[in-house]
Amino acid sequence: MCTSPRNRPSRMLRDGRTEDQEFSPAERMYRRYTKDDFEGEYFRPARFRFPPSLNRQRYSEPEDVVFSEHGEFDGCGVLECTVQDLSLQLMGDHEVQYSFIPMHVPEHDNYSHSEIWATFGDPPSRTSEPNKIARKKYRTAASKFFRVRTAATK
Amino acid sequence: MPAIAEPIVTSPEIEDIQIALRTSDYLNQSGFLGISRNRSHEAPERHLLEYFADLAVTLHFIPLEQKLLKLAQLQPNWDTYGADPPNAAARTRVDRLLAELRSVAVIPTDITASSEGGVAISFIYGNNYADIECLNSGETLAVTVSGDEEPEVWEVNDTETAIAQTIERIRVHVAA
Repeated sequence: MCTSPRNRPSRMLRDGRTEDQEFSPAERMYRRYTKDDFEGEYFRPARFRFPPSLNRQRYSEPEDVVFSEHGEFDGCGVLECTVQDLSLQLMGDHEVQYSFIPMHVPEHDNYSHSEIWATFGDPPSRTSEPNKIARKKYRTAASKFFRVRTAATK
Repeated sequence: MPAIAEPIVTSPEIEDIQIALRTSDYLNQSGFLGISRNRSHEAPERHLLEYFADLAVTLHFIPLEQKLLKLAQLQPNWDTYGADPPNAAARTRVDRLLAELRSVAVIPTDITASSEGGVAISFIYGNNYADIECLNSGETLAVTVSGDEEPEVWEVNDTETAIAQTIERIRVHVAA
């Protein structure tokens, strides 16, 4: 069956807008999920790839994470947490301390798209690829903050 | 013991178990579920208890092994965030880990594909969480965490000693 593509909400389009790296601690971050992303009540850390891809509340609605023109994400649910939840400080190996921060990484068709990056060292360097120990620590620690906003049906 | 996450479907191993139970010949099958034949001096009741202990462990691992086989069918972008499917090397390492875990009766609660590319074996017992993640890159990482504590992460080398130490560390953590 052939169905017409859905119209992408105009708020999702970048439309020449620049990055906005100002995040308030209370700003919500969203991502989609499927039922299998949970084991019981645990959002599986294994399903939380680094750097995690999220939509920020300031420039989106929660349901934008499950929008696609052709319905690929139909049935996915929406998870949410806050910037404060995700802004963790963790030790990597070799006693390197990492601070994890949200980064606004707009995409052409998803202006609100954001990621979590890490800063380390003095003066601080910013990276989307901290070492593997720090990445896994972060994925494990941060995954427990996600709450179901809209339940998945698949 | 944790609840079994998925209904157990039939398999050749389960059919063997069912036949053995029907015919009561499990005491004569030396290789069956790892029961040794060198126990003729022990009471039959002890054989039976050991047999059912082994059986309980086996019944937990069969669905995990079946799930591992199914992970080979995943396609690129299976998680909708661009993940690669687990490669053969990662699945082989998980198969080996499952065998090691089974041999010491440390029971995972699930296995799942990892969005980092690979397979994760998870252990959730109450407030205690652990996993072992075999990545497509060839690396294996393990983690333990309880509640709001900072997770402990370590790399697992591909040696019998490192694997045994990791399993023991996880066993102690989830039993705490």
